[in-house]
Amino acid sequence: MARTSEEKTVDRLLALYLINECYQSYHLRGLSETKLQKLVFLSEKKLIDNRIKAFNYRFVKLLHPSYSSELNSDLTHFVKSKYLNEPWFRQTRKMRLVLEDFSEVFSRNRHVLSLIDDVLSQRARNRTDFLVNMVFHMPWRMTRYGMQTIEDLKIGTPLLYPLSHEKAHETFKITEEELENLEICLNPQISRDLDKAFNEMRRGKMLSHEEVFGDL
Amino acid sequence: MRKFLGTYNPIYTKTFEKQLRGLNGKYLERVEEKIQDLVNDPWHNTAFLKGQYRGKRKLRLNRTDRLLFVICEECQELRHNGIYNDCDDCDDIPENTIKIAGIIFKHKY
Repeated sequence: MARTSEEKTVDRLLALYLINECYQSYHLRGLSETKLQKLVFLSEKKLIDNRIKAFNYRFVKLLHPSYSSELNSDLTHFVKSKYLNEPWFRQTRKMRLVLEDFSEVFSRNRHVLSLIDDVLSQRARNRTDFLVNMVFHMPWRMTRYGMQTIEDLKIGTPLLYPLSHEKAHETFKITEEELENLEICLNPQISRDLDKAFNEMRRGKMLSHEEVFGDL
Repeated sequence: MRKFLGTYNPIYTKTFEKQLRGLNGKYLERVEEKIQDLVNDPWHNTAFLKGQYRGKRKLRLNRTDRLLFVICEECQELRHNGIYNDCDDCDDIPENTIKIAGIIFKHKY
């Protein structure tokens, strides 16, 4: 089942939070997509292990070895919409505005974020190849032949998927109003259409009331 | 066409005009009603957007759809022009203008 619009919006906000933390708290000089994929994967796993519904990305086993196409598409959107600059997903003013304006959401979810912070404090400074190797050797499931690591799984095996509300002990707390405002900022289709309309407004290409409502 | 009576004068983007052409009569009437309310008091039941859309406001049209606009008087007072709105025609248009940018139709997304 596809992620709900609420899940997508929360995922995008948390991804921006995680990227911002890597630069602000751990002073990384750059972030590769592979490294980001690992940091989000480890954070989501820790949240799910604690029965907390926050990140909702689907991860499957691929060559590197955990990969989420949903995260990849969000990162592509962040770069296209100038939330992040290439190369290395550096932050922009646009991203800072979003994080500043939704700081209350972060304060309300301190416990959720503390788990992401734990992962970052242990892993943000690790080299990408170390993280890839570590994820390869993570014990994943017990079979009758013994413990299987992620390396033992077939390509395409699902690794993580959104925790259902029934199974969650805690959920990322966000009001409807905040969610609406965030979706306006972070939904790629909405922001593409809005940017077009606000650009027309900026350039002063406006129509009068008669021009718009006259023929209707 | 309804003649708007109010303190403020609405002007519109082409995007908004195109969006209107796709609406049915009943919905169109609702949008006109809402714009009438807006020209009477653009602060009533409206709120600022956030993030990269700071300086712009939204008005609820129904449960899901929102009308997006800027009140030029407020923009100048709060010195949003040059920071968030940055309109080329800022010096040429009257203070009592409301710039209506477009509608977010939630079902589209």
